[in-house]
Amino acid sequence: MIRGGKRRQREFEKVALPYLEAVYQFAHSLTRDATAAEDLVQETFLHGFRSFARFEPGTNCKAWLFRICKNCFIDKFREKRRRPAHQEIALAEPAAHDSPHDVAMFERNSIENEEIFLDLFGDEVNRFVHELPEDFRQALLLCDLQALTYEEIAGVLEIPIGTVRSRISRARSFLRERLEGYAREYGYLKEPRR
Amino acid sequence: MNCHEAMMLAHEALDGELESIALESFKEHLADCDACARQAESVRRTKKLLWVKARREPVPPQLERRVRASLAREAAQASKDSWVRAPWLRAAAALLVAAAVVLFVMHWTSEEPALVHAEIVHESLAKAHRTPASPFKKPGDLGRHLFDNFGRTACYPGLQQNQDIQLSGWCEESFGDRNALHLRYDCKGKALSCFVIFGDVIPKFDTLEQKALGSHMKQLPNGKTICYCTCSREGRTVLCYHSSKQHFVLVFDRELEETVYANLDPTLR
Repeated sequence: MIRGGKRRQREFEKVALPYLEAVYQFAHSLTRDATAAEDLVQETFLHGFRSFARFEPGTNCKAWLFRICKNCFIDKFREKRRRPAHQEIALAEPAAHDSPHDVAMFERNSIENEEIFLDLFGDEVNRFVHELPEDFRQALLLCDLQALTYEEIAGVLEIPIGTVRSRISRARSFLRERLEGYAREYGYLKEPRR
Repeated sequence: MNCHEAMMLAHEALDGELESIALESFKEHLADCDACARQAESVRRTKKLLWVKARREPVPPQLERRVRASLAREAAQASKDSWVRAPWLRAAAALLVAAAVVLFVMHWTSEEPALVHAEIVHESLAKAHRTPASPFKKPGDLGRHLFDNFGRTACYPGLQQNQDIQLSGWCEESFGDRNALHLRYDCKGKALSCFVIFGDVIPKFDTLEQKALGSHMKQLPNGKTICYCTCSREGRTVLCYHSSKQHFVLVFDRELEETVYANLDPTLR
C-alpha cells in the first residue's frame, strides 16, 4: 500500500507539477501576496492530490488545478484578507458599441511597427490590469495569459460562459481605454480622429 | 454580418472561440469593412500587449520542493491510514492486545487452562470440511461448535520448551459459509495445523506474501513469541498463536469477544 501511495504520488506529480508555475501565477493574482500565494499553491496541490481519482484524464489539468486553487482561496484566504468586496467599477460596454475612432492608437496605421507600439508601455499595463474589478481581471488573465478556453474559464470561475464572454470583452475595452488615455497624456497619441 | 454583429464576435474570433462558419463570415466582413478591421486589430493588439507586458511573478525556488514534500507526507499518511482502516488488521491488533492479556494471565497464574489436544481440533475441523453438508451454515456455528466441544482454550501440549515452530505454509479454506485460514506449522519435522475462522469474507490473503503472516508474530515482554491471527465479529472468534513453549488455538467465547469489540474505537469496528 505504501508502494501504491508512492506510485499515486508520482503519477500526480507527473501530471500536475508541470503547472506549478501557472498555478503560482494564478494564486498570486488572487492573493496579491507572495507568501500567501505559496501557501495557496501548496494547499491547491494537496487538495488536487487527494481528489486526483476524480480528475478525468484528457481534460485540462491546468484548468482543474485553477478551479481547486480558486476554491481553496475562497475557503481559506479570502476571509483572512478581507479585501474590498466586488468593485462596481463602471466598465465600458462590449466592443460592439465602440466606434472606430475609439481605437486610433491600436490601429495598424497609427503605429505601424508593433515592436515600437509594445515598447511604449511598461508597468502601466499591469497597473491598469489591477484596476480591473477582480472578476473581470481573472477572466481576462485566464484567457490571455493562461490560454484557457471560455468553457474552461467558466468552469474555473463557476460562471456561465456568456458571462465569461462579456467579462473578457469589457475588460479588454477597459484596458484599451486606459492605455489610450496614458498614451495621449504622454504625447504618444494624437487626439482621436473625428 | 453587419458591423454590430462583427464587433460582438471580435473577441471570440481572436480567442479562437468561433466555429469555422462564423469565423469565415467574420473574416469576410473585415475584408469589406475597414472600421471593423481596425477594431479587430485593436483587440488583437490589446491582447498581445497584455501577453508581452503582464508581470510574471517569479516562482520562489523552494516552492516545488515544498509542494513535493507535502505530497510525500500526504502519501505516507494515506498509506498509514489505509492500513489503519483495514478491518482485519484492526481486529488483529485488538486481538493481539487481548492475546497479550491472556498470555500474561496464563503465564503468571498457577492454574493451567483447560487444554485440549490441538490434533483433536484439527481432526474435528477436517471432518467437518470433508462433510458435504457442513453443519456450520451460519455465522458463529463453527465457533460455537469449537467452544462447546473444546472449551475456552485448546492447546497442543506435545511441544516442549525451546522447541522451534516454523510456519511452513498456509491456505484458505472454508467451513460451511465461513472462511478460514489454515496455517501449517512444522515442529521438528512434525506437521501441525491450526485454523483461523473468519466471520466475514476472508481478507485478500492471496495478495499477501507468506512473510506478511510473519508480521503477525509478536515478541511479548515476558519473552514469549506469539503468532496471532484474527477473528470474526458476527460469529465466534478464534485466535491462534504459538510461543516458544506452547502452541495454542484459543476460541473466544461470546463474552470475551463482545468485551474486545466493546473496547474498540467505534470508528475501527
